[in-house]
Amino acid sequence: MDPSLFEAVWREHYRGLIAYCSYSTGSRTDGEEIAAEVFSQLLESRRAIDPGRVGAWLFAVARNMCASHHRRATRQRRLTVRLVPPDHAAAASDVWKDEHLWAAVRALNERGRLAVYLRVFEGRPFIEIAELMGVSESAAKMTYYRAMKRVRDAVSEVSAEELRSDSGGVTDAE
Amino acid sequence: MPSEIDMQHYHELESRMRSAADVWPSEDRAAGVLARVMERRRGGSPTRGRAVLAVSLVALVLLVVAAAGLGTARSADEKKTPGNSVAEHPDMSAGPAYAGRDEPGIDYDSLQGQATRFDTAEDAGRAFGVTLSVLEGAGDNEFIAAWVSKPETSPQYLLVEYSDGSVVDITYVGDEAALLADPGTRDADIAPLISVVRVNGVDAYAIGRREADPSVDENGAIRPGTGVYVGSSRISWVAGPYAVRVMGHARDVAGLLPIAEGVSLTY
Repeated sequence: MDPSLFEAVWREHYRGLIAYCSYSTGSRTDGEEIAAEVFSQLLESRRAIDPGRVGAWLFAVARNMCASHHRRATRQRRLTVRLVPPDHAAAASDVWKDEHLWAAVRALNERGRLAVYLRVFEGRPFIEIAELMGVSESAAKMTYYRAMKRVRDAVSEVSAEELRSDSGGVTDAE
Repeated sequence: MPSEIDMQHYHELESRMRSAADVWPSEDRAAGVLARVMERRRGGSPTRGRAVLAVSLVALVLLVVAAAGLGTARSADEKKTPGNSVAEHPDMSAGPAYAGRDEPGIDYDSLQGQATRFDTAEDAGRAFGVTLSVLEGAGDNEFIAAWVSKPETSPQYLLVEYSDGSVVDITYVGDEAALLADPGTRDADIAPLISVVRVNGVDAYAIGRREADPSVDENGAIRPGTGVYVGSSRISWVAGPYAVRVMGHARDVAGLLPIAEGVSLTY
């Protein structure tokens, strides 16, 4: 890609792309590493990318890389000897302060995670989310609301468990 | 479409999520990302086009940094998290990982609380309930210590640490020993990198340290065989209910083989 064009693309997208990768991986280091790789791929690209589609291209590459990161991290957690308690090993994030929310977001598929990011953190309308994800507006809405329902259900389940735990297991006091 | 009540819940959840995650990069961290992009370009062949690009990117980095008034990009030290904990950073463990290039290592802080240190492998083996001997005094790769997990830790493990960072990891996992010893034969990206070697008459998996940067096609899909990072070389096998893994980031598979062959485990 032409350096002057790259400069313009970087200025427009660096903040959102780094934020998305950090949000998705739950790690600043990993997120920044992936973001750097995405922009490197853009620079390496010899194919002409439609300037109006650069954002979609960047998020498509980042989404694939984040998905790959999660697949490997999941396998890693299964295979790695646990030198620290499992809950610490699984939930550690320097991006998410709420471990229950992070666990719920981590359980989403990458498409759902991206839709949630674009809506919640970038505040984009669905028509823009659809363009960035390469889907129809109705598909973007469906992806987003399904993902949010999963997050809500996961968080509600944890809250209910905590409530039961707080009540010492007594849920039906007479 | 969600009901009105659902929508209200979602709005509350959106707000909670925004408060719960600090996703936005500071300008100096963004400059660090840009510096890494530039660094990778510099790693390529020194053509005139690349040189022009490098100059352009240097200017851009300086612009970003100047805007923030925060000095230069992150230092190399900041990129590494203190402790080199396996558990804190999955990509630091011996297994395959996608992102991150940090070297694996032992998290001494965690071990202090969870394991007991022994000065000989034989003593560690006795405490672990097995008869164990390992390669010792092999020139540039001296035995340092062995660690045995405390009874309350699960799964139970024994680690042998060498001076070059190589580790012998024996973990009691019962029926799942084969799963733990498998470095990724069921992963299409990893499987082609795995070979089988004989260690003291037993078939073992072997995989070398590898950093293959991802390459993507025009649709954003990662090309097969790229984007594969293996933090350290590894030879692993099953010994009854134990998974034995010999790992080292400073050695290739051939370099690890003498250490693997030096492990004698009777259970």
